[in-house]
Amino acid sequence: MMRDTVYVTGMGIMASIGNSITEFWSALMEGKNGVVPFGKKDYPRHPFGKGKYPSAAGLIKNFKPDEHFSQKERQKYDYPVMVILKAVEEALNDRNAPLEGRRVMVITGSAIEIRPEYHRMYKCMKLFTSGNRDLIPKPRYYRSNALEVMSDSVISAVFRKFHLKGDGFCVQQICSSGTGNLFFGSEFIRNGKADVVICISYDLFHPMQNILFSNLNLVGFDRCESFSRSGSKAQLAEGVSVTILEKMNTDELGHRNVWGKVRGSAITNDAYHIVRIPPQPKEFAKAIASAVEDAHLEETEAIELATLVGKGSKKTDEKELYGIKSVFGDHAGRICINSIIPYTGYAFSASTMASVIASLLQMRNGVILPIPNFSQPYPGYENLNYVTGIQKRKTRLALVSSLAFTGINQAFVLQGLHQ
Amino acid sequence: MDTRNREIAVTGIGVLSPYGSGKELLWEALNQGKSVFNRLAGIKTKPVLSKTGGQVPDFKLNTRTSEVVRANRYCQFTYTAGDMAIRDSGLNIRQLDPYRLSVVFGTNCAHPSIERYSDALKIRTSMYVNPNVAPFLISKKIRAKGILSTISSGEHSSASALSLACSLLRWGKCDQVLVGGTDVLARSNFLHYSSLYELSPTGERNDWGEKCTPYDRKRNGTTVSEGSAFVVLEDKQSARNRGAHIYCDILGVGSAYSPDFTTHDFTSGHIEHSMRECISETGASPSGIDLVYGAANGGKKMDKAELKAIKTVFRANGNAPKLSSIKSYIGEIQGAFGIFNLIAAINAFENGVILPIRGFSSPSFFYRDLNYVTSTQPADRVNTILCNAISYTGRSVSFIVGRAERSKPVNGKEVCVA
Repeated sequence: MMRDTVYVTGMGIMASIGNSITEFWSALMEGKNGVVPFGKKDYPRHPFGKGKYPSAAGLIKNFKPDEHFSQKERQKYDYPVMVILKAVEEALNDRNAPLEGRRVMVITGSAIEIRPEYHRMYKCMKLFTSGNRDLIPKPRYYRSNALEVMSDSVISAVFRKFHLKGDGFCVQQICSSGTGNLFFGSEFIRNGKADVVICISYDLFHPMQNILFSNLNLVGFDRCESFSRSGSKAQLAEGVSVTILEKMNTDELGHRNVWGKVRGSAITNDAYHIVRIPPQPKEFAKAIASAVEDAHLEETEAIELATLVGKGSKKTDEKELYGIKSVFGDHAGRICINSIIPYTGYAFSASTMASVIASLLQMRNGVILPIPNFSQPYPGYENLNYVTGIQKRKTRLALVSSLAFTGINQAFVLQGLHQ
Repeated sequence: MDTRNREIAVTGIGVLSPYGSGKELLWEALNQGKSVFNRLAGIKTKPVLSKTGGQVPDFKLNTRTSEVVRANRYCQFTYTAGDMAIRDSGLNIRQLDPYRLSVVFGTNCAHPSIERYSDALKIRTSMYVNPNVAPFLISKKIRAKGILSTISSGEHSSASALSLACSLLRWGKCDQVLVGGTDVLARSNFLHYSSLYELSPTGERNDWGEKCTPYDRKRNGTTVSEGSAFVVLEDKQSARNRGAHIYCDILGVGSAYSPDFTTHDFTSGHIEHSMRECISETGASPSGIDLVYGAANGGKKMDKAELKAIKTVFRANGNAPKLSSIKSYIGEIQGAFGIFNLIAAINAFENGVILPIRGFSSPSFFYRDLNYVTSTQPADRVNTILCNAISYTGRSVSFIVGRAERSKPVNGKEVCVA
């Protein structure tokens, strides 16, 4: 059965280490850490000092809405929406081709959705119903449209700002939402349901998340040490990652910037526990195996790079390493393993899509990024190839994985294309 | 195996409605014309004028699984209805490949989470805050290790889940899909609908009375309700092979998005587009549609937009199918509506009844020439039903269901003949 090839033609990012693809890549090359402390001045209403929770996160820096949006737009859109629109704009500029006549689809994925804003929204809606409209907080746009509090508001804003026509929906797969939209987007293109899919993954930070994830013992106080036995856990972050997928004919391929191809993808579910990981994570291995099978690799082709999640949590790290080891066998030792969480912090769904972007950048630039602070591997996984220093090596095929609460596992096989 | 032309059948139904638990209760109550609207219990409605809604009565959880027992009402509804659907389908879960069994779910339930924001601070309840946990609980019960996904963005959510599930089956990503939607009522989403100026005001302060009469000239808003509904979708041939009861076929699905809808400029273009897309997917023409179960909820502008789209799509072909909306019975059941609409369509095939628009008196002047169903009619000659699900957030999803028994192959594709 012939299916259309899915190309990645545009990318945009807003992360703790950079507000554009160029900044993001140079920060990765410099080994920057995007996690910064925050305090009462950043979140005035947050009850600081109650309980022992980390007060640091990978926050987006130096984003000034007035440099990118008119006063009317600033009144219209809330801060998170403006951050998202900035990343989408970058991706569309990167794509640099008209969208007329193409069937466009926008798929968003977010673990937390726009819940950081909920406190304000609830207040807003209360006032709405009491009839006292003058007390509604800014932006005044909510006065006319309470629907902006919903996750579809992102799709609506993207359609309006960039004058798109087509279809769109939101995927909710917790931390895997960021690549869930990549999975569905690539399948929509492969099966001829859409021509261009804009996959938007976003998660904005609120200190309440540090409390929630500390309760689950998933947040660290120091820089994340992925795949290290003595490592500390990931610190939370915020970010927006956008990729544009599309199908192309051979004429277009010659003179367009194409970052790579989505060769294979797969999703499985542990069906084991909401937050715990099964003792033998066969389901994650199955996701990797299915993605590799879906990629229809030729005999000469092999996975050379694996940009995994690597949250620094023993169980999740071992789950990923178990998957790599059990699927690839002897070849597992030749796959370069790294993670971008120690650079950016863990931005839930935005992180998984950022891993996709980072792996395509690594393949484009012929560089393999190291795992910062990597010390000693977990017992039983010593023979794997952890990248500890920048390597200048051309790679062609990369594996990207994502994990989420409720046991969702995803794996993607990406092929890098040189310009 | 090429699965692109897979025929999709509905083989199991599980429903938890304001009428009670089970499809029989729902169908019986709908066929008798019963309404679900009562004065809301346990929800503070002040200062909203509307006081009524549809709540699931006397819900009892039939499991002792600790993960479900300590979950919130939303997760428990989902678990109960999903389990019911799997039992009804007769699927032997132990014999299935778990990686080919998927769960796709839709909900509008972000809003009740606001009231439970404090739950996030407690370790035992923080796990249940995310909408995706509810379908996980049922996927664990049925050992579904395939795709687990949730669409949580408005009233179209469960219809979008149905659309996605059909696509997954046709893409060959799974063999059986449990697809459904759940939404519960809480003060926050009650207030949300009020803030959209979409709730019908109560009779306490004026003469209109609180009602939900879609398409009616004197409609004055909707009434919200809660419920959970699931269906099992699978390949029609494999359902036949295992001797399963096939309720209906899903013949086509279409969807479109309009940002104008969210700004209260209720344009009809995307509704029209989604209806045309699903009709063209079946390979039939608009004249092949016998009945339309619309998404109209009694709201002034949304009903008008849908009527305009229906008129444009069908009147151009000189044919106006019968038009009704089940929201006159169950109210605005939020994200679960898409599957409830599908179950109401199955009711027409199973019990031979076309549901009239409850409380309908007269149509709007501009849309008077449409074929509104005002009294109970036999559905013997109804073979294809088009169901709409439209959300305030701007997405419209349409799907066509066909009578299973009378389908026959035409040019290699099964198309129902009226």
